[in-house]
Amino acid sequence: MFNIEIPSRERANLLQLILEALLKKAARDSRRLNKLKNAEGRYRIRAGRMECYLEIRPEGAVIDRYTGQEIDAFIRGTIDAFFRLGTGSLSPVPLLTGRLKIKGKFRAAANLGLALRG
Amino acid sequence: MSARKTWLSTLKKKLGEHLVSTEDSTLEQYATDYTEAEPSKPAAVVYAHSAEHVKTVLETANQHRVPVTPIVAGTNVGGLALPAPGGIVLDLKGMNRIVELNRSEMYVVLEPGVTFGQLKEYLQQHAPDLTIAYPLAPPNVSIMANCLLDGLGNLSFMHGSMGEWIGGLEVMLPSGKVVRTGAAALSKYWFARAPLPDLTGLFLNWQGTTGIVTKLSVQLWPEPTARKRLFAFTYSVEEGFQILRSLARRFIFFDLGGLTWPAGKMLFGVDNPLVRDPSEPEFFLYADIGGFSKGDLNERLKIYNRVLKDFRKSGVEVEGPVDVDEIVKAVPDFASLADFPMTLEFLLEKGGLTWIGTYGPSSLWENGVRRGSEIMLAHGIAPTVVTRPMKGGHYGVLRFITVFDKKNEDEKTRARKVNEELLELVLELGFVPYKMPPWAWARIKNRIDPGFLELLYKLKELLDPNAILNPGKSGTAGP
Repeated sequence: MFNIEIPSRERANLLQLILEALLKKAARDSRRLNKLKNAEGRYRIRAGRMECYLEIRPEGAVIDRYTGQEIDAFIRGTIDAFFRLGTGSLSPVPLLTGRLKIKGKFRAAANLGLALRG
Repeated sequence: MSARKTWLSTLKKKLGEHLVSTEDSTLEQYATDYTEAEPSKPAAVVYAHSAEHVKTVLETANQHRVPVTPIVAGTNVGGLALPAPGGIVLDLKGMNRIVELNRSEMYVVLEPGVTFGQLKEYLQQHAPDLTIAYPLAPPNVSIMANCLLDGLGNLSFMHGSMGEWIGGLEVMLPSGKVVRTGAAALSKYWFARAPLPDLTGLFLNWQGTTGIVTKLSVQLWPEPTARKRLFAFTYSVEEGFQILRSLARRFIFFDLGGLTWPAGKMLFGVDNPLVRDPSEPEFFLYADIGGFSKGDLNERLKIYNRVLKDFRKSGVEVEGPVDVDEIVKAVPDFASLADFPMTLEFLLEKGGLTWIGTYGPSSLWENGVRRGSEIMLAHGIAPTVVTRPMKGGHYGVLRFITVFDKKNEDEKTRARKVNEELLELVLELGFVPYKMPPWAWARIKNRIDPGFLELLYKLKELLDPNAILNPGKSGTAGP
C-alpha cells in the first residue's frame, strides 16, 4: 500500500494534481513502486511558474504547496516535460536530458524520475 | 371516457400497446433532465420507429389538442426536451436508419435517432475517408438534434455551427403533411440548401415547435490522415485570447478553443474548484491540427509553433504545447479525452449540468470571461468558461458551464440565479444564446426586434395552428 495525499485537495494547484496522477500510476506497477520507494526524500518541484512540495516516504507520498520547506532536491522543467516523463517519451534518463533540471541530491531525484517514467 | 383516455386509446389502437407507455416510472424518467428546470410529467411516451408512427401521433394529438415534445437522447442543457404537463413525449430513438450515404457529394441522409457514435462506426466501415464533426457530448447524442439546435462540433472552427451543415430536411407538420426542404425538394440528391428559397430555416432553431423532422441531410468532410491535438497554457485569459485570435487568422486548424482554469482541475477530479493558485495557468488553449499527409501536418505544426514562439519573443509566457495523446498516455484516467465523441464524466457525475451558451463577438471574450467569472464565483460556482472561434473566427462561442448536485435544492437555486445573471451579462455584451431555454426566451422578448417577434408568431401559427408542438419553447408561447 502506497498512499498519496494532497492536503486540502480543493486548493491544490495543477502541478500537484498532475504529480498525484503520475505517482498513482507509478504506484500501481510493483517494479516502479520499488523505484518510488528508493526515491525517499523531500523535493521542491517547479513546472512553468507552478511549484509544489513532494515528500516521499516508504509508505506513501505527500504533495503539498511549496512554502519554503527544507528539501533534498529541486527539480524544475516545463509542464509538457512532466507529461512526457509520464509517458516515457522523454529519453531513458529523463533527468539528464536538460528538459528537467535538478539541484541537490541527484540520486534520489533520478530514482523519482525513473519511477514516474511510463 | 375522458379526453385523455380517448386519445390514449386511439394511439394504443393504431400503434400497438408496446409503443405507448403510461407507466409511472417511464413518465418520471422523461419528466426531468440535467438542468435546473423543474420536472414536468407527460401523460404518455410514444416510441416512434417510422414516419408513419410520427404521422399517427401528430394527427391524433392535433385532433385532440395534446402537446407533443420530441426527444432523442434528451441531453441538451436548455431543458428543451422537457414535456408539457399531460402531453405526449415522442421518443425518436427508434428511428435510427442511415438512409443514404453519398460519398461523392459528401453527405448522409439520417433519421432523427441516428447518434454520433452510430454514424462514426458506420463511416469507419463504409467511408473511412469522411467524417462528421463531433460535439463534446456522449456518443448517444442525436446528430439531428445537434444540427437543428445549431450546436457545434470539433470542425466548427472551419465550418461553423452545425445548423449550417444541413443540406435539407423532410419534415412532418402537425397536420400530418410532409414537406421537403433544400435541393431535395426538387432533386433526388440532398446536396445543399441552395438554390431554392431556404425553407429549412423554418425548422432550424425552432426547438421542435414547427414540425417533426423525419429525415435530415448533413454534410460530411474529408477525414485528415494525420492529426495532432495540443494544449498550450497562458497565465492570463487576456494573453490566451490574443494568441487564440492570432491562431484563428492562420486558418490551418480543424478546431481551436480556450478553457478557463477550473476545467483542468475538474478533469483531475477536483469538485467545484473556486481557488486558483496565482502561479497556475489561467487559460488553456486547445488546437486540433489535421493534415492530409505527414508533411502537410508538419507544415501546419510549424506555423502553430511559430505563432507561439513569436508571442514568447514579445514577452508572453506560454507553456506547452502538450500533446493530448501524451496526456492520455501519462494519465490513463483521461482515456475519455482520446477520441470523439467524448463523455466528460466530471460534467455529469453530480447529475446537474446547465449553461449559458452563446455565440457572439469574439472581440469581447475577455470582458465576458472576467465579468462572468466574477458572477459565478460570487455564487460559489467554479468559473468554467469555454470559448471557441467559429467559422474561421467570424464569431465566437462564449459558454459558462455550471455543474451542480441535482438533488440539492440550494445548488439548484444557485444554478438558476447564476444563469439569470449571466444571461443579463451576455445580452448586454451582444452575445446571443443558443439552445435557449424557455425562461431565457421570456427575458429577451422586450429586447428582440419587434418585427422579428411578430413574424415568429405568424410563422408558428401558420405551421402549428393548434400550438401542439413543444409548447413554451423557442419563444413561440405568444406575447
